[in-house]
Amino acid sequence: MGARIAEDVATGVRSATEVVRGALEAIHRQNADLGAFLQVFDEHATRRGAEIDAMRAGGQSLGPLAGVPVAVKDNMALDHGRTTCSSRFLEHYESPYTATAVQRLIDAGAVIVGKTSLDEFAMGSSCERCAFGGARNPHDLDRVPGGSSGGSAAAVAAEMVPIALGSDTGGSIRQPAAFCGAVGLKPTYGRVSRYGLVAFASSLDQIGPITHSVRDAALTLNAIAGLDPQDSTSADVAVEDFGAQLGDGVDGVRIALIGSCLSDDNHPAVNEAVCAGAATLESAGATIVEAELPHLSYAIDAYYVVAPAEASSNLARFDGVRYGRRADISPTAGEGLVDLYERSRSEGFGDEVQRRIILGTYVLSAGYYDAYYARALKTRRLIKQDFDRLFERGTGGPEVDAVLLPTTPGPAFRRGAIADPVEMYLQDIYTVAANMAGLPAISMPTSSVDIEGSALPIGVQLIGDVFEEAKLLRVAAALEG
Amino acid sequence: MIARMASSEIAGVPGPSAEDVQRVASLARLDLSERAATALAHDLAAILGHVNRLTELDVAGVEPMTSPIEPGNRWADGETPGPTLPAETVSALAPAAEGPFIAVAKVLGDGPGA
Repeated sequence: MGARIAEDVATGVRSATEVVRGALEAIHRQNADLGAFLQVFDEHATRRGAEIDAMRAGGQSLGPLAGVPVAVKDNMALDHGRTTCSSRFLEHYESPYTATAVQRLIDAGAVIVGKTSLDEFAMGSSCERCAFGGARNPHDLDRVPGGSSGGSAAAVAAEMVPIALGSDTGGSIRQPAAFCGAVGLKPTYGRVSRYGLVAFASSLDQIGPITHSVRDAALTLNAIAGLDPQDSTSADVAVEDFGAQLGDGVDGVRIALIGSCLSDDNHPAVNEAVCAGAATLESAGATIVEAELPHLSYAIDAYYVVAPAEASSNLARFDGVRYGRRADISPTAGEGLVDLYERSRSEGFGDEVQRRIILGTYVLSAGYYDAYYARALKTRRLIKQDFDRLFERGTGGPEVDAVLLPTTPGPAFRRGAIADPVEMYLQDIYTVAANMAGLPAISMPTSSVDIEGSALPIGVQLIGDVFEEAKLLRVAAALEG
Repeated sequence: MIARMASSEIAGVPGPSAEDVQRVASLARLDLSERAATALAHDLAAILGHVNRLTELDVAGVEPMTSPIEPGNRWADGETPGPTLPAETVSALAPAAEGPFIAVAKVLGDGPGA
């Protein structure tokens, strides 16, 4: 869809102005119901579309995403509009610069049409924990779109835009993609610069695309991947054409099917989707290997120590001094800087963010560090070693090319249905391992299940080895049918 | 595979008290009401009760993994500073500024909050 638009704009079949107008109309027609967008840049996007048309008319070369409307999760900096992270703390914050990944999309010709809703500071799995109203699932407005990149997934699923950027710390691209019936790709840790991404958990965060097709995911990754001197964690690894292998099929590819993930606790449609995915890949020439990741079930526990610990540190920057919300204090009553910090943070952060800051501070505090944080980091190594054993060549192991497992335990749940934090955290049970190990992973919409009159999408997940996105996308393409 | 937890499973596990939560909140510069601290103590007990499954694993001799990038982050190249934001842009972002300076509450003084 995005690739087709870029081709049409480049060849003059459609103008960028016409494409952008169509996207803006689709957004304004549906956004009151969906709440996918927090901001829409009508004027800016229209002007940008006209600029691209003028470039074409002037004979200038156009980028690979010329004229493609793209939505950006509102935790990425953009030098116009606001960057709110769905938080009262940053309600009026205007970034003076643009995130590298977003700038690279703009440089490739994409037109940023707006910023999408998310759980506050990307902490959530339902897009309900938002200071400015959450997004809803286009397949059933009474259900959540998933989170935290719920607005981006809803915007793509409702065909407001063909491509959106999300960020994924523990599943925040893949889970909403699965709930909304979109393709969601979390690249390898370090593949995409996080410069300008408001940090949640720095050893886990990664930016990636949510799209309608594997081809569009590859096209987007082509644009945003690569070394960035502004991000010391961005990897100095060659950027290939991630779509180059899409037509190569999966003949000879080895896929690990993780049997323990086909749990009775999953919705039956999830297990059926994973088995059907394995059958599809096998009939296309892949070899399915039954395998286990012995420490996978512990990933969720380790994650909910590591991620809040890092968040508690990262969010220390929001102190009411340099930018964002500042609470009123009363110097005449003896209130000073500490009161300003405490009041600003307590007024600015929502309940879930405060819960995670407290949890993170607790597991890092004296007396608990070794019991929780150090143990979680050691478990993290065991999880990574499990994957290494599956992927490694020449060691007598299974030597697989990708791992197949569910994205979520079930389809999208009803808004307000999950109030218990532990139950909400368990929504991420199949997605966090890829973040803990730094591996690329993709959720593919392969089926749906009819529940109470709604056809709810089901996603299956593929995890690949580090920096093997091209192969991962090739396998994913075989699931597109 | 899904490790679901009934509330009774954590009943015997001592979690943080509301006082513990208040102490941690103070470290994290959060101002919690008593009611919020009590609710958070309950939440933390449930979450940590689940996390305690990690004690089932033998992690003796396992090196902690702090980042997927090992041995670590890349150092900046050379000593030349990169581009920075102009001072007026930075002060314009601040909730309060006086000339080129960010205005803050009194830091030194005689009050307990100073």
